[in-house]
Amino acid sequence: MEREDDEALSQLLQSLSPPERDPMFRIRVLERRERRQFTRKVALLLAAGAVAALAYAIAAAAGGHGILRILGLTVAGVLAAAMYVPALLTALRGVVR
Amino acid sequence: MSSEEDAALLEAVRGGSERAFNLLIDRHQQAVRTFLRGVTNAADAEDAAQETFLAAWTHAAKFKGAASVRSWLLAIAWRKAKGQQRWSFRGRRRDTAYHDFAAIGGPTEASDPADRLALAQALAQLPTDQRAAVMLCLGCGLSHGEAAAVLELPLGTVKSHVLRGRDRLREALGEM
Repeated sequence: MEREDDEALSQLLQSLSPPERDPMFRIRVLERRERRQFTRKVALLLAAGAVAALAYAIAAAAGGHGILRILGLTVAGVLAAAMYVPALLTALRGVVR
Repeated sequence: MSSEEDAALLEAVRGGSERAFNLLIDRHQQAVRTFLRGVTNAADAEDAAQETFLAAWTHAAKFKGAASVRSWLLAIAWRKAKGQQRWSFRGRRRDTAYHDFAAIGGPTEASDPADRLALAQALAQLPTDQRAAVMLCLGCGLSHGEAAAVLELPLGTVKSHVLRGRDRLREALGEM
């Protein structure tokens, strides 16, 4: 009797179940993942851009201070390369194909 | 699906396989979403379910094989649901039980809408841990031991939650 009651309750609880196959749910998960990756990438690029600009400004303001100038330009150059090289490689791959 | 196959699937997900990730979602979305629909409101349940699979994608390497992949996913889902509850108003679920019920989609295999409404309201009356234990053991078919691992509660506590929750549900639903 108890077991039958449990089965009836289980069946009722399982009525909350979504379909066994639900491609729309999968698509929503993948879409959310892509959106998040894109947001992260944009945030990283913006942060790198801001740091590069700051480094360049410091280098420009350094004037006669050679080491500071070189350091600032190096940081700006590395960050600029880090930002644009991946995009450039992707574009080149597309041309080669 | 065997636990070995599931573990192999997760290993492939860890390696970045899109196909394996799609399969993982297809195979476990029903259990995860059923559980979450029982423990939180419909909108939060969908959100937490999506976040669960994203966490599985990101943290696949953290799966140690101590439990089944399904239990691991349900444990993530439980943490997500608890995280959401911290941000929501107390008693919100009780107040919105009807709307939540109305928002629950899916096939629901010819279940009577009145039964589903009564169930949503009855579940809303249970304390969160009790509701989770009932959903895992009676709704998702986990053993008490598996549910204890998912909820990170002692086995005895889970057994008592299931017993009390079941009795309270029966009482709320009438003569079941």
